[in-house]
Amino acid sequence: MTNFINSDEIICEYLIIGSGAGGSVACKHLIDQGKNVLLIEEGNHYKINEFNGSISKSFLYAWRNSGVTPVLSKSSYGIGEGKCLGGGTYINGGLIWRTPEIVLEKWNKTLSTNKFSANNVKKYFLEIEKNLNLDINDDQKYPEGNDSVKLSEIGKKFNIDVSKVPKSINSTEKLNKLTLGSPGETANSILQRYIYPCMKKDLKILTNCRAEKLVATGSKITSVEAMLDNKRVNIKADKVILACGATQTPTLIKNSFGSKFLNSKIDVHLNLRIGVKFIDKIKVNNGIMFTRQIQEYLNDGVLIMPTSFNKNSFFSGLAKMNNQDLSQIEEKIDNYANFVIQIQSQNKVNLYNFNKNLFLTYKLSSNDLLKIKKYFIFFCNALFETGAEEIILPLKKNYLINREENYIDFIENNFTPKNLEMISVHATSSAKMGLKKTNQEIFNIDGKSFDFENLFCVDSSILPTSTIESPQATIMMMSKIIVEQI
Amino acid sequence: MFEEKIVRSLYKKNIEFLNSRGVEKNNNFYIFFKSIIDSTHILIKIAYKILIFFLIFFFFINKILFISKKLEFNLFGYLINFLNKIYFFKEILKLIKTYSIIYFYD
Repeated sequence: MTNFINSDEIICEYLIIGSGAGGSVACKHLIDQGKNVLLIEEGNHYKINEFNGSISKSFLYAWRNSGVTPVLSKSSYGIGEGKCLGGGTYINGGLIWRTPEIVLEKWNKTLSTNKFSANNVKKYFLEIEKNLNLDINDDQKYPEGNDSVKLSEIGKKFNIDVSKVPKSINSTEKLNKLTLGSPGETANSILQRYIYPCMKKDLKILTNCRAEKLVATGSKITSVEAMLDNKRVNIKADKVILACGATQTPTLIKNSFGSKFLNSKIDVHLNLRIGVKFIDKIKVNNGIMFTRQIQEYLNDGVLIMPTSFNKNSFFSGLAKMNNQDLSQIEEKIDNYANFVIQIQSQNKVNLYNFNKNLFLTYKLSSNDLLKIKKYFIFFCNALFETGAEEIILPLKKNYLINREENYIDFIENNFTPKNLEMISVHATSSAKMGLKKTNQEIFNIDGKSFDFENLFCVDSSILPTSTIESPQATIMMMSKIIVEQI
Repeated sequence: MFEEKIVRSLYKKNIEFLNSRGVEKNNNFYIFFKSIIDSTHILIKIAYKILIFFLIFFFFINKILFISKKLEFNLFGYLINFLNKIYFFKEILKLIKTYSIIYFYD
């Protein structure tokens, strides 16, 4: 992908840095307009199904920091991000939820606009859903996964909203065995539907190319210094579009203009995984993966859903257990399912740069802890009422409860910040849009920098808040709105 | 030499009792895990280096005392169980176990 480079200086009309949900949409729009576009991506290009279901290989090659970026916190906590062509959408995308109206209303209110009303953004979502071949109706050839069926049972029993999940994951062939929800194995991913068609037109791509610094003269970005296969290159572009994601966009900005320019705080969803042993065999591998989600508590920032189930992803979350216990679970694996409670965090992750290294810190708020306890008490009760025998909680110590135990007292006593195990994959709002320049809001509501006339941002870092739902479609929608106005 | 031995021993301990399929990929785990460490976050690299330094000291003492291989593996098991009680080592040992499990089941 480097045959068009003749020297260490590259000139283009539009430079897009990053190839995830935001960057891909920007590429497609500009290429369709016949513009001269260069896309640079820090990671490598991996084809569809390159890893053939291997989590270890995908961690090693396609995820940033070999799978997890640690967050300094009392809890055991890490953030997962992609580092490959397609970005986060290659490793963990595919759920295409429209931005919840409660989130859009908040954005419009904060930004004193009507730009992001459900009506105004509808056409963008329709286009995205069409491009990604969105599938909400289950294939009749295959049954729903029994983990999703359990959620339906819970919905009926407790009279709560359990919705069908709109996804661009073509999971009917592999049923519930896709690795970590990876659309990198599917034919209707961002890579297939956005990047490859652009490559057939005139999109130029540089992979293994990391943007190191934005160079500004006055109110204009004049060039971008980058490392291409360990060789320094200088890229000159009329317009520079940042799409490197919620940790890398602020890192690039801080490296370029100093730490005082941006005080980056990342909005996150806290994912807490629950392993559940049911009395009967439920064989979740025999059904289609995560077709249902508990949406009743969306306005409280909480979602409950099954997660993809295969031995290595399930057991990797149980490394705290001793091997004899793991061996017993393995023998009864057909009785187990894996669920996630996802909570919109009130506190944010702080981002620091030191000597070009990224450091993240987080403190769980007491409100979030109360919320976590409340929804675990609800969900444990619901699971025991629908046939669960034993639950493995996301705790470092005292993580097993069974139906005979007083789970309310158990959760009250054991859910402490020091004892929790969490992960996030939806980082957003680290260089967000705002009405005026502050040290946290550095782009206007058109995605344009307050300081530099030719610098734009189209990735998750520009979103005013987190989205509660999976943010892929929201990022794509926002990117399209911004890039249309450039 | 010691580092490879340590990583292999950790892998062997981490997949103990899980070997239901009779599959052992012990030989290649070190290569895989070294690649993981090379591209991981600096904090994890530091924690790993400290752990390895500590365990190299353990194996060095064993060599001096001419301790048999079987006894050495048992002592290694006790030492890992002890280190799992110390917060700093617990997190890095858990991470190594996570990668061991992922690698084992792949």
